[in-house]
Amino acid sequence: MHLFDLAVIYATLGIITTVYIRWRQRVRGLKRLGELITTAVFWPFVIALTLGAQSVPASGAMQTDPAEQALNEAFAAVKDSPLENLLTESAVSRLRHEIQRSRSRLDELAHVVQSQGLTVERAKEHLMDLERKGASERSIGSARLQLDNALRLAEMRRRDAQTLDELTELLCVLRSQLVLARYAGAAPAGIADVVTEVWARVEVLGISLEPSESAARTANGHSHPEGSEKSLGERPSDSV
Amino acid sequence: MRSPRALVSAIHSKREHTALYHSSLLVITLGTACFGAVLGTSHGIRQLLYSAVKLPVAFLITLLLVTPALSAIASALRRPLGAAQATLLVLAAAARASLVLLALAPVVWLAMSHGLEYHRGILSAALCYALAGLAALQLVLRGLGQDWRARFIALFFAATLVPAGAQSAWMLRPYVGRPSQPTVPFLRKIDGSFVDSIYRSAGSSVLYE
Repeated sequence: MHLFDLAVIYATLGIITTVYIRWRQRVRGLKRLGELITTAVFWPFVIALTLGAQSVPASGAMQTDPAEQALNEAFAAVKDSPLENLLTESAVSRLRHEIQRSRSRLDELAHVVQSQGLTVERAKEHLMDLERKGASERSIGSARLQLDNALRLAEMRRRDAQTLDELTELLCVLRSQLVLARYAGAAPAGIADVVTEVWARVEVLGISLEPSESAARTANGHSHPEGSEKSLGERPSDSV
Repeated sequence: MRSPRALVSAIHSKREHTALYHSSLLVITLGTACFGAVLGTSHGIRQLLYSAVKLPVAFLITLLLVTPALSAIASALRRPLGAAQATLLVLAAAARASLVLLALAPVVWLAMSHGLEYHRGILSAALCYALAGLAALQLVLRGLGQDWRARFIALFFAATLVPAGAQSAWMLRPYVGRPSQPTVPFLRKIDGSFVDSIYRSAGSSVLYE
């Protein structure tokens, strides 16, 4: 096989990838020409970035975040139906953004803890080691502080993961409620409470992600993130 | 690009991936094009233009070939690194290397304008690539972690990158242009390998002294 043959195969795969990516992104014709050319030329990078972002590194299997999946399915249930304004596209994209941000933060924390050895076990071992060796009080104090920080990091991760799990469960409930609403023709009782709960969890996640921003918001008298109040007030009862 | 720590944090937290991808590609293309142009200055405008086109192509071909290897090596050594993260880490590191090449370009240009001999020109270019590679490796290490496992991953990745990069560049030579050659070809006939070339250039350099 010559270099020319390889180039032809590469170009063919590039064209197929570009068509697929644009179909997935619902882009028609020659819109965003620069992006089209970049995708066709650097298709291995684009594949890794678009599809690899959802992969699970440990197993290598492709997987969508369960919360995002539930959200997508909930949106699919109301899309192109009279119930569409129960869960608007802007609300979905905002929820998706918040889920992705919190999932990213969890990944980042996991990476930091792993790569910098900030695990509770390691900090405990270090402290015990120092105590066994009869190290100075100052060294032991520093090790205790390190253990305290590791414990706080672990607690932070546990709390974020728990909130995300709760949000996932609520989104699953919301999805089933919306599917029911679609086929029953009316919103079932309690759907407003579920939506309120969903936004409450998103608010908690937002506070963990940006404590300073949230503090500023609270100081300004805004208790909900931008846009959430509108979705909460309008969607559950007013629309159906 | 100015803060490796922020760069690595953005890669792992999946923030600004699109912006990082585009800016890395842009920096790689511009940095290597400038360095390629400088290498071609000693042999006229045609060689300058050819080198400015070929060096970014060689660089990008190498990245396309070796990027999946980082993810695979990291997975094999049980350090979770997604395909997207691996791609961005490699691209960001390559962009850093391109910036180093861009920074070194004036020095090489000055040396070449003062009549740096052909073989020494090639050796100085190889030295610049090595320095740029070290800068890139530092970012890769920062992205992988600070432990021994990360160092092993970086080492194995470098062992993949160096021969792949050298051979890609070799296939698209000349970048400097032989003084004895009256015409400037876009590509030269492939004879031998990159390692043979370094050996020959080093030998010729010693002989000319």
